Amino acid sequence: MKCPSCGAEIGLLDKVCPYCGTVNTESSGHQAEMVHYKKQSEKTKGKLRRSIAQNKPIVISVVVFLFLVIGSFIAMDVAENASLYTHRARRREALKKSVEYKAELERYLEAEDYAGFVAYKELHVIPEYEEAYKEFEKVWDVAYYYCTAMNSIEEAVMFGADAKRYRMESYVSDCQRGIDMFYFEYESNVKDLQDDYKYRDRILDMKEKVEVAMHVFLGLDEEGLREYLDSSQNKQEAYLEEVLIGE
Amino acid sequence: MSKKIVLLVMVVLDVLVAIFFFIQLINASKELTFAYVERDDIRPSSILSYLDWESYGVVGVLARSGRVGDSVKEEDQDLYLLGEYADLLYWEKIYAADGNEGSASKCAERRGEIRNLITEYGTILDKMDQSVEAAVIR
Repeated sequence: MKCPSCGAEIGLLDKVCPYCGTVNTESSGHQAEMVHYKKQSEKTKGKLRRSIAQNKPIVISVVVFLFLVIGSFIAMDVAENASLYTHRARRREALKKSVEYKAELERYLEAEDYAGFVAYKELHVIPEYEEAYKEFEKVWDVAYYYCTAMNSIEEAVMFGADAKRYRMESYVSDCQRGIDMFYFEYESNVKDLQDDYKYRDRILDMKEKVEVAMHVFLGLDEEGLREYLDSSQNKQEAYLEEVLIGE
Repeated sequence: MSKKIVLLVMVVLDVLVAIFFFIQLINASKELTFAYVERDDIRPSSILSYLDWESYGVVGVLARSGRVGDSVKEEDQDLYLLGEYADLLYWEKIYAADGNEGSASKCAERRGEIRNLITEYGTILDKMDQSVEAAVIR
């Protein structure tokens, strides 16, 4: 505001003008308003504090509720995708421990335990496409189908004397499909296989083992095997039905 | 609705959600510690069912992860050993027929160890022996 006497700029609460000394008659009114507003403000603050204090337990319980609901959803998601999380964790570990795991994979191949090789690789989620394991990529491709074929034979032939042979038809079709898929994968891999590939002999040996299993458990000698492989899917299933179910 | 009633309802809800949360937490931790990651159907209960049906080939395949070092719970160890025995019987036959005497004898050796570990399952192990012999086509 301006001083009514000298026109200088003075504060609302200044009792006298600091420049000319004239008494500011309006300052007492402003001071009274100031006191009134301060009191009002204190009252409002007090009301707010009381209101917060009264609602505090409800606010806390709502916050706890929200945390528990969010926590429950997270726990449900973890349970639902547990295999995915453990899968990723194992894959990371497989990359860290590549030297140790590679030595173990070599040991399985050396012992001609290709089923063990596949089971070990799957258990540790070894990523064969990563640089550290690249050398196993081709042998893995064939070993996986080798395992499928050998497992299907194992499942279809080993029964106890009092076995309840449920779903024998599905064992027969699994067996036919398993063997068929192995030969397909084997043929397509072997034709591109380089002579100096480190595990070439292992791949060739897998075919030999499948044929041994087919000879021992499915009664296919060299000639029978050729005939079986040349026949149609229906004829192959008919043969397996005859051997495995006796029909 | 008075504040007291709202508070009471919230506390009851909190307790219920807390119980639900802890159940989910236990469930999640159980799932995370389940070792075999590739196939969810490989649970001890599956092995037990196939043992009951005397489908020893399936038992052998299902339990193979135990043979390559999968962690198996103490109470399920016998089941996995039975499966390992069945699996070894099958592979022993193949190695022997293929002329790999070294691997065949290792399988036989391990089978012997398993027999000593689970002597109470002698009858089932004998049945497994017979099942592989019966499966061979002569």
